[in-house]
Amino acid sequence: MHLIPALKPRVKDKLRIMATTLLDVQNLNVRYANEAGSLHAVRGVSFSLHAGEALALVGESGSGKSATAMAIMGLQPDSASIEGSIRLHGEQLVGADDDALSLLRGKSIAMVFQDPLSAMTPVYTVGEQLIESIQVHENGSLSDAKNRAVELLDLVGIPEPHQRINAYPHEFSGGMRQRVLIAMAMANNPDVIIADEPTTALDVTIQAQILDVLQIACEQTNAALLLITHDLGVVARIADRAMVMYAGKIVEQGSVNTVFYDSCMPYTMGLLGSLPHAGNAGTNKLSAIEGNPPSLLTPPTGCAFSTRCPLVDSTCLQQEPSLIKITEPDHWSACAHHQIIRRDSLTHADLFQPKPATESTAAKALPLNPSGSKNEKVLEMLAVKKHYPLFKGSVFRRRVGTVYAVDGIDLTIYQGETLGLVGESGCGKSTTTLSILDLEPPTHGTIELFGNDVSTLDSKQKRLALRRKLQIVFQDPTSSLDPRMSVFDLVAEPLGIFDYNPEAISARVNELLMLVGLDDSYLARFAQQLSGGQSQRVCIARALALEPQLLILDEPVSALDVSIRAGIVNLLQELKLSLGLSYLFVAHDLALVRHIADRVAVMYLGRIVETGSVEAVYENPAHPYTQCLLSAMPIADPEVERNRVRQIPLGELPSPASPPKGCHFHTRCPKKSRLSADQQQLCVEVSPDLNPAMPIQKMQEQDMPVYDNHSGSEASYQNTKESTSAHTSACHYNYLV
Amino acid sequence: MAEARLKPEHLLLKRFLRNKTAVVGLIIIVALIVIAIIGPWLSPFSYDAVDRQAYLQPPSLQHPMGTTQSGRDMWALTLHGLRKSLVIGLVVALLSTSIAAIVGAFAAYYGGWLERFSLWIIDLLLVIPSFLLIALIAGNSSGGASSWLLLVLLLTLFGWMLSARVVRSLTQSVKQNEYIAAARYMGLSGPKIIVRHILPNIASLLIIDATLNVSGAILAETSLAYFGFGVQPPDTSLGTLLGDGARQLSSFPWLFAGPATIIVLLILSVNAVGDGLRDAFDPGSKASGKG
Amino acid sequence: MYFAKFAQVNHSATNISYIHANLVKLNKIYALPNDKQQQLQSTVGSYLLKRFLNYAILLVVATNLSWLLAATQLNPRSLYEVSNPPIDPVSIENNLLSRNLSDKVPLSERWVIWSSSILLDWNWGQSPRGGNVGEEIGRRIWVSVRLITLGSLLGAGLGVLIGTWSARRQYGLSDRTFTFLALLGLSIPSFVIANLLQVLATQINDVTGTRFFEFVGETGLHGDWFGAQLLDRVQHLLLPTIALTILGAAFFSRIQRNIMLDSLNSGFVRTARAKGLTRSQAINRHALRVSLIPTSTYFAFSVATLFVGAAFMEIIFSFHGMGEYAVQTIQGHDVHGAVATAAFGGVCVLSGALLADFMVAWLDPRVRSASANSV
Repeated sequence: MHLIPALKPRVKDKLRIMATTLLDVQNLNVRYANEAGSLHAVRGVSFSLHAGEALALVGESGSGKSATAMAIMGLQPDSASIEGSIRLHGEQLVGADDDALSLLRGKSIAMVFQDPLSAMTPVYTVGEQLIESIQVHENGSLSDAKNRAVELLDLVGIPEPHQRINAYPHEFSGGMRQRVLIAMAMANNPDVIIADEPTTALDVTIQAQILDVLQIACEQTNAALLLITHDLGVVARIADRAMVMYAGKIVEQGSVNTVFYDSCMPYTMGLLGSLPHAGNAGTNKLSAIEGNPPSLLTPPTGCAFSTRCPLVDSTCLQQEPSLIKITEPDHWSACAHHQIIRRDSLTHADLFQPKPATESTAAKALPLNPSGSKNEKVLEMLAVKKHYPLFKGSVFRRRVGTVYAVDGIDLTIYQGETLGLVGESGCGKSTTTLSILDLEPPTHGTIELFGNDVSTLDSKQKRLALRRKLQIVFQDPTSSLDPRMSVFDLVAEPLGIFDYNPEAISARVNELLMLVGLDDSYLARFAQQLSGGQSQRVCIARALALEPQLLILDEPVSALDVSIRAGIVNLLQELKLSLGLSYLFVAHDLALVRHIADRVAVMYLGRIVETGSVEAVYENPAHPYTQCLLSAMPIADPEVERNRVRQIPLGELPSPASPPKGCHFHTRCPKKSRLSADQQQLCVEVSPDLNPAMPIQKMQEQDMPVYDNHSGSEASYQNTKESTSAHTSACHYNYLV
Repeated sequence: MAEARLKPEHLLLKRFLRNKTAVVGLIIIVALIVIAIIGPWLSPFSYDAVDRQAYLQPPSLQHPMGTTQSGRDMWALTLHGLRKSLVIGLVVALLSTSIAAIVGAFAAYYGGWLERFSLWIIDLLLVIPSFLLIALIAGNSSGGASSWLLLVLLLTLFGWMLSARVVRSLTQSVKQNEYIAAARYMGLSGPKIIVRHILPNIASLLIIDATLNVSGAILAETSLAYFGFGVQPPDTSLGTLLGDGARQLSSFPWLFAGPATIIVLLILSVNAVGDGLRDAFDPGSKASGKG
Repeated sequence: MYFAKFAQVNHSATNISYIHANLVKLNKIYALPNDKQQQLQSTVGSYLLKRFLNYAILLVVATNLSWLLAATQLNPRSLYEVSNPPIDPVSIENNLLSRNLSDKVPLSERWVIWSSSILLDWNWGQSPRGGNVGEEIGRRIWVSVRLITLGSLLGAGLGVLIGTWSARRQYGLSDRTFTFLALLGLSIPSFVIANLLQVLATQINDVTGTRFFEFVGETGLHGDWFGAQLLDRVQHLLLPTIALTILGAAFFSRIQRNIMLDSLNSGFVRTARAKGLTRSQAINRHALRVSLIPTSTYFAFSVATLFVGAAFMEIIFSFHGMGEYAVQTIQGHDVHGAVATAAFGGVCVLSGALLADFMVAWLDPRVRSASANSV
């Protein structure tokens, strides 16, 4: 099926030294004493980590991957009990006391934590904390330690390390803090580095940078890496071997290529298939794993995945399959049916056949939204600006400037269309959605909803009438449901505001729950008794209650586990078709936007830098920022990942309170360095408008100015506005490849 | 995750019951309230009756806790004082927590000038030494049977500000939740959002606050009474009894021992229950373990 | 009153960490480049000015309200009317008039005289029996300082120690014991504690046949050898200091325990241990240091409010300080004394607030940089 790739030099070197086992975990069990009982978080995990390798431990939240890491470090909470064996260089760690373990921690085995803000002590400088890591294990002088600290900061890519060493953690961005944490882990040249979701909280461009740093760290220190993550793209990019964890057990283990291309465990196969990628972009449906992981308060008797597995039969329910080696050299699977999967070369497409994309039975209960043709605009934003005063200081609060959160954007959404809005955090996406939802006139420009200018909404009635056509689904489903209300009350709440009678409300709530795939047994449950996916379904039901025409989806799946996401994405697509909804889909996940959106707008520091149909923008990204985003996006395919040439933006997002002059992106633009000094001058001084992103020949044919397109931009800009499918980009050098 | 699948009320009860001090405290409070209610039937003497045969007598069979200088039965007085102290504590707590909830929640939800104005009033009331002003007004009022009502009003007037500040900052954090934004974008009005979504979600704080305000009010009354600014005779409270007793502690300890024991028992119990409630409500407490 | 509110600090503690989290969030998103921060420093001065102005207004309003209440509620005339032998009504009136205390003069006129003498001469008026209020307060402040300094420092220090100890052994026997003792300390009215201590000290004196514990006033009879005077003062200070220490320790151990628990479970303690610090090292170097930030703000507040709040200690142990004065002015119908004490109390509260802010700014680099190097 796949060609075995030629081993890269680095991998070859590794094979030679891989013989030595650094860390050997045997039959590890971790239990947490909990009010509800004993939570069996890790159930008999065994693996070994060899010198020089990068081993990924993949799993969803609650799968026990972090518990495993904490147990290895001996940093589990007091309520945890640990059984089994963890040997580092043959030395038993289970049962060792704190003093003995602290000699090893940071010296032989180091850890990079997930949340770089809470992981650093706020009252000490970065340098003090880094020097502490060095001096804990070394008796050298302070000046030696300081020099080493500067050296480390330099190595992980902190600019001006001599000065920045005196900065406090809060003065660093998230990406910078993560770099410092990696530097701390490197400080004593450990043999093993454990990285627990090191890039989860970061933007995709920063994630790409940090993964590079992590690789540098491992190379510099010759450490083996145990990477804990939920992101299969990250695994594909960085790992040599991978272990997949589910419900406290390792269910599949092997080289990255084996796991990604020849998986013999339905859970792994389902995970891989549920990711949106170029291959399934057209089919409109992701293959979703139904259901939720089991509770580990009462571990299952049979296979833990059996309730969600399409291959389930009676053997699966009788006893839990153990992890066995199925092929040499090193492919292990914990599936009773691994032989069938191998024999028939089953893929995720065979197992998790997406249901055909027709209206579900539930959707038929509601009439298709008949109003509006494809050409009717549900939303039109023209030159919208939203500026905020910036205050500073807790003791001495005062205004110190302006945040240019949204700085002149045009957006149009037509009836039945999905517009994807993408960009890094802090680029103004959320402000854009909120300025639409507020129904207040923006600082500058106009917002028209369903043909009504929001500045003309002079009465409460008019406002309410518009409200019900416009609803939102938030990112975090648990925070968007009032924990003190039942599902029925939650979904009924908007209906109550608009004076529905009790019978109508009750009927409508039942209908809505059916629509989002929940049965009426959920009516009496409280929000905190629901899983993330179920909560998000309730949020969608609530948003649909008043039959809106435009739904704003603000990162609707990014807080959910990978196996849950596909189901929600499918539901949203189904609803759009059956109810004729329009979506404004805000996300940082570019693959997902490609999957769900018709058109896409890329936002950077309050401005739209590129917009066009999904095909045009993804196939031929014109703006360097879009190119960077696409290039930084991890892809769950080890071959593709290894052979990619990356274009990563320099540095980090500037503050929206002081955006760079000229083109906002020029401070980070990788294209700029390839321009002549004169050309660069233009980038620095003149802010580019959105212009057609078409090849140079075509522009010349149409007699458009080529080098100086900003001066004639008004005319061309007007033209592009007429046809919304036009692919435009705000770069002075669109044509330059 | 797994923990969340338990019913919320069940979990609360379980956590509260685990705290033995709090459970004992609750039992004591209930017992004291029952004693206070049936008090008049527990003593052959009325609290204001004078036994001319017994002035300043130590405890005896007839007067189990002795008598005062004016020949009043200490046991009857203590029962009456307990009643008055409980009523003062409960009413002040209820009123001041209510004011705090309303002012704090509205100030934080609406922000702007309303918030600035509320904060200014709060600051003003905090800057005025409340003890002094209450003493000034209560100590120079005409006295009489309704003097405790005036005291309740004064203690409420100067008792809600800190709670309001806490409610305000808690509301600010509840306000960050997306369900508040969702409600607003549904078209729900501000006051309705406060009543339906904000106040129920800070109910735990309000309950704890009200509990602690009970002990706070009783202690405050006691302190005022020590200087003679509390409940005025012939009416009495535990504080008044205690204040009188403290001055003659070494010579006539029985005047002090009874009221002191009861008041410490009462306040300790209320505080323990408040503590237990806080532990039960606080999901971040270490006791709940990490799932 | 202030001690009664102590039990609530747990919530405020969580607020503080919440506020910090938000601050840090804001700072992260909108961190300004250094050159812009330099430009902004000039505005800090005017900001401070604004804040002081607001405080001044608060104080003026509070003082005037106090005067209004005192002038209408207190009745200095009654002091003279009950005297035996009776005093001639005309000379009573003259006495009152000369001290601006006569209720026969319209309120507005008395207010003009009272406020203008403060504004023009910084003269806070006279007590009904004569004697300048300002001079009296000037003397008494130092008595209060001597009384509360040692006790509040010891109380806070002991409280922090106990709280830290308890938090590290949460739900252990020692934690439960200390928690109960602290709860008990906060549940006993402070005058009861002081009185019980006094009884206990008398017993010890009687049993040992010495006068080791002194509990009347600041000084007593003492020898003339070197250090005798100091020893005498220490002996007199012993009991009130013990009482204040008990109360302070009960209060601060609760605060410190709760804040420390937050701190113990935080990510940075885990990071410190992952570096190779032992649990104790990580707690002492990282968790304790961070937890002292909120605790110190409570300390600032509690010290400031103790100036007037230590009335019980002063009266029971016969220290003639501000707390005793506050009570005496009201009992003695001393309008001007009561108002001046109220104003002084207001100054204490506001100084406490300022002190708390400065302490946070000093201890917490997040706040320090958020206020643009102004401190």
